[in-house]
Amino acid sequence: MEVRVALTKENSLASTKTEDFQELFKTYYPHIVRQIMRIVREKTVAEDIAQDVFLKLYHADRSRIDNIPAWLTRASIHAAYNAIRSDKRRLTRTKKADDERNAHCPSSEEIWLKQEDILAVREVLTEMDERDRTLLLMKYSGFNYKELAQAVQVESSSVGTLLSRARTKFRTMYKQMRGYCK
Amino acid sequence: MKCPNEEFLQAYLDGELDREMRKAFTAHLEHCAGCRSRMEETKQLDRWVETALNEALAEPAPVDYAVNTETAWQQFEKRLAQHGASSTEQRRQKMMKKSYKKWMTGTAAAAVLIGALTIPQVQAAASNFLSIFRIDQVEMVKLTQSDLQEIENWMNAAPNGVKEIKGIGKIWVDEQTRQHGSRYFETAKEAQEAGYALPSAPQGYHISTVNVSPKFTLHAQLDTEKANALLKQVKADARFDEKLNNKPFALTVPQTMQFEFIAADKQEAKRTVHPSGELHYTIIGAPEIKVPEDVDLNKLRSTVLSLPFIPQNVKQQLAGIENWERTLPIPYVTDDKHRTHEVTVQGVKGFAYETEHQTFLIWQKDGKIHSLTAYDSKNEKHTDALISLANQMQ
Repeated sequence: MEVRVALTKENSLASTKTEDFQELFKTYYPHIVRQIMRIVREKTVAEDIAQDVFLKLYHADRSRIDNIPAWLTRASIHAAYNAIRSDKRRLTRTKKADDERNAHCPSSEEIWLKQEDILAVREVLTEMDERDRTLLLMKYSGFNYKELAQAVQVESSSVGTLLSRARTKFRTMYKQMRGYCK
Repeated sequence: MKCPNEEFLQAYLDGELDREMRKAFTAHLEHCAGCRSRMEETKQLDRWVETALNEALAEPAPVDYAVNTETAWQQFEKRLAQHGASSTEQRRQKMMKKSYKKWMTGTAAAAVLIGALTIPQVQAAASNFLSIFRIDQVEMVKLTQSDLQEIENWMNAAPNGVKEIKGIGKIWVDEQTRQHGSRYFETAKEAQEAGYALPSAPQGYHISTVNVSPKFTLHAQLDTEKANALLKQVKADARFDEKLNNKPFALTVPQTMQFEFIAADKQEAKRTVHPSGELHYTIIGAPEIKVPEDVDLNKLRSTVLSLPFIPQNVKQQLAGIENWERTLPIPYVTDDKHRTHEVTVQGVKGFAYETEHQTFLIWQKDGKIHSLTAYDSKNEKHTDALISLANQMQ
């Protein structure tokens, strides 16, 4: 019968596609895994987190979600940082992954920040207030103010202020971190 | 204009001001050195944050992220099966509602597919055991919210046992079809090496993954006695012809290819077409249907169209399709979240279907059905841009 289901799907492509969770999963999964991997570095860890995120989407009332990519992105950032925080081995893991990264990118002139700077940025992001972090990461992933407003559940009109503050806070924390490290 | 606050500068930088405000502020910047220097600072902070985030959260090198979506989905299904037992009543109801819709749209499509079997020419030429014809056109069939409601009401009020349609017929797939799964390629090169011809990606995009589903044949047989008992039970006047009893029908869908196109410049793609920077392109070979030779196909068509759960509106549309014997109807829902209109793609008539999360183009060319999908958001539709991308793929 599975072929029959597949056939039905083809026939009624237009109307059932948005209903169809498998379709959603297959559409967004690669993007979401990559996004999580940017934060947690390790592929297997990222894959596990992505599974959790999609399970959450599956159990959510999707008719109330305006923008699936934005929802998935917010949930991924949240889950990825939760995982990092709860992972006691994160420092070693980060170091190991970053060493690997260097091995893959021999042209180090192209890297704008030094290795310690990168670790500091990652540390700041981990320590930062969740709303600020979500705003920053989503903003620089290309989401607009309206999508940001929905993601962190504030009025659209206050996104500018919050985002502006988040940027300033981010820099301040970074400076402290670098000062403290030295 | 007074010197604006930090938040305003930020919004200016982020392109979130409306045209009027933007213009006014640009003019203000011309003669306000204070704002120019504040603007410069804001810009620097913005660039620094962007660079810091991009560098610190750089994507791992390509060898690391060959994502296998198919495997992930299988794993996900397993997890769902394990968690399924704990789903709430509310969730079950929601699922049921969805399955009605799905079932209904599938049924409406099936109704016309079967209805399409009623070609007089097929009967005239019926010297073979089976007659064959091809479906090479698509037509949109509109379903309104009240149609959906009607079907749902009918399903809810239907006499016991009606929902149980087992036993009125059987459907099966060739052994051969079952054994040959679809093939998945991570890169265009792999697919080419495996001997598949690939379409050209639109400008600024390249083919990222290729999925090839082999040809499959679906067979169906109807037990007319049981089916007619069902029709009687639901008070439909029409009956299935007894000659149909246990006669084999077959639907063959040729090889289907799905491609994922990735934008070279994702930022640009985000602005102009869709947020994910990815497009999905599907080419489906024209389905072929084989029907028994001596069946009164006109009668079969009217029987199918008289099924009580097909709303009047849908019946009229199905009955009104020109060249219906070669047309695949694609049901779609109209409401404030979905919109469809006729468009011209690659010089032929096609349809654009816009929903909350995607824009979908479908057209028929060279005996095949093509579709191109962009996953976008409700408030940002770039259908014209999508059509011009489709035109580049000729």
